[in-house]
Amino acid sequence: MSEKSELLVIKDLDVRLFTERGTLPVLDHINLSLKPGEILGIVGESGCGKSMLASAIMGLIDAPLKITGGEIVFEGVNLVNASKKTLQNLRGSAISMIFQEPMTSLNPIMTCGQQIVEAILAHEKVSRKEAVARAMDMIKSVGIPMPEKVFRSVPSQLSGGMRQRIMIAMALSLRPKLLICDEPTTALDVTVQAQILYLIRKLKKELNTAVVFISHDMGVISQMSDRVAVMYAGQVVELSDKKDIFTTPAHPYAIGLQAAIPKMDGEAESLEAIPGSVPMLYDLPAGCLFSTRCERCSMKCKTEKPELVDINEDNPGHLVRCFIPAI
Amino acid sequence: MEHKTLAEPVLKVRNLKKYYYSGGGFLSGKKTCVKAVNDVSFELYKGETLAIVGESGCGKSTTAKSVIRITEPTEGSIMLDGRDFGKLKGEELKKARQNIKMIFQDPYSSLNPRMTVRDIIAEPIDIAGSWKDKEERERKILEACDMVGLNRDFLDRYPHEFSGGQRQRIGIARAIIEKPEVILCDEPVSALDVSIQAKVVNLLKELQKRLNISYIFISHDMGVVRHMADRVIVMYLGHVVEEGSKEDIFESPKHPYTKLLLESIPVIGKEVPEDDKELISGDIPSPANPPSGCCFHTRCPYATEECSKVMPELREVDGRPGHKAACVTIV
Repeated sequence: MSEKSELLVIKDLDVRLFTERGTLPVLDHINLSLKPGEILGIVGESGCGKSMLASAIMGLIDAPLKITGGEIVFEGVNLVNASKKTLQNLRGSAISMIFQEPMTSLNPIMTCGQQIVEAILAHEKVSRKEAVARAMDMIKSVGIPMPEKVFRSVPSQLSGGMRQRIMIAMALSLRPKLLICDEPTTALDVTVQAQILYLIRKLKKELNTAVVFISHDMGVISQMSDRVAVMYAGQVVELSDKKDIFTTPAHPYAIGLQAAIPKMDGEAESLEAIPGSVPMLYDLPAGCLFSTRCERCSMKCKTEKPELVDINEDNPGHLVRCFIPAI
Repeated sequence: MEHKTLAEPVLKVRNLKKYYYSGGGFLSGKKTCVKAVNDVSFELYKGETLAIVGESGCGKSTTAKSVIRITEPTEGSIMLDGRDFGKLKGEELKKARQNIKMIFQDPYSSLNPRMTVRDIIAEPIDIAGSWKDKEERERKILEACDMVGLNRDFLDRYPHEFSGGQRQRIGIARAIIEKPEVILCDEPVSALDVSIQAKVVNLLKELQKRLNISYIFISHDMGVVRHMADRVIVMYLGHVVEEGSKEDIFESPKHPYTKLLLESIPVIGKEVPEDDKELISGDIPSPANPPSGCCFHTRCPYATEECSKVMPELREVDGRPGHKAACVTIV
């Protein structure tokens, strides 16, 4: 992988939370990269730092949180020390984001059409008329019935699925190169979720947008992603092609996460739960962060911190943070 | 599930309806009626799990709440253990409720933050007065606590000190302390992370075996339902559209909605369809303004003209006893 072809490179990113109990590692040494048109799925349970990662890329980290190290390079520009103006120019136009709850991320007293028009006018020097026409095109392209009516509706008049479509229309109206989706379908019903996932994939293909797709749902991640990163307690513990991570997961946590999902075909008597619970950030184990819950844990795991390394030299790109990965 | 057709059901619900009215005042315009639950009937047998599935607004939670009478049903009969639970009042209702309990979705808002875990678990027996002395009360609390795998040392703590999974255990201990015959589980694992969810699901199954409890298990997660249920009811806009054994519903679903619902589930290893033919189009209609005829016809790929006029009845399909669907297009 040459770095030239990468759209986004995250290198050794550290985010710390400053509290009375000390400095807590919210994100620890994150290394990820993304090519144009690629979908990188990020999966993990609550509190693993996946949404924090999205905020870091968008430049939304604020006190008491701080980026204490590393860089986020988007098309050669390091976003970590970029000026406010540079960030503002990039956000919305080159990098866009879709949030989990469309109701709280849309302006409740502006019509949906106006919100999209506003986004276009903020970034491009076009006439209002042209912006309105483009907004209308976007609303049509996300599969909204009666687009003229929806253009003039405020978000509260629309259903959750329609609101999320408006979010997508707004996020893609400036043809961004990078789209960050933070649990975009978690608040939606499963039939509507299927429609939205299909829509994101279709538009991604048309616009060749790279997507960072964050979800807690392994099923959704497996349908959407080209590559997958599994996060645990602020670290990436496994990173690989979709195929490898779902057929031959190697990190005990990634394995446990899949075993805990009730299967749609099997008749298992009981589900395999992961023992214990996620450690608190102020009470992290000294060695591997998963060692307190891991059945394979050895003495080394309790004292030394594993690095994220390739586990198979013949098939590079399957990275695992574990001393005793399952191969 | 070895279906005990001869046995009397523990719980028998007939023609349950719950309507909500709004408006009709001077300023709020026309009076509207939301038929949240519209003519739902089912039986629950001893020791089985009956799952109610469907998307938001389909009436699954309202059904549970009406059965236990947290909200009074508009119409219908509820027979619990051969008694007319729907008509009981006062002390009698209190007593009958010892036998039917509920576990809620949100373990954060369903536990009183100002009560200790001990008092939360003991609340049902305190209300029913089903202990003679402090020792008996304590013995019951400890027994419930052990059964759900909660550390006895935690009894004097407050709910905020616990994680979601532990809180759900407290909620379950509260529900089983009187060893009820029926427990209504309203999305009991939806708020939990998947690794924690597995533990709670296993616990519910284990308790069912030990105490021979019957569950009504409400969930939108078809994977969890497949794991838990013996029989399944599929609801859409307040109506039951299909019911049958777990095998009937998951392996040979008959109603178009059930089929499409199952196809919509993202499963590991299944690719996203390249075209959108297999997706359900549109949104769930507003329950305040449901479509005429079959409630699903606006989104149904097989809808005919008849579907918009005639409301289909729930009838047996495939000649399989207990497998029913409400659709005119299936033979």
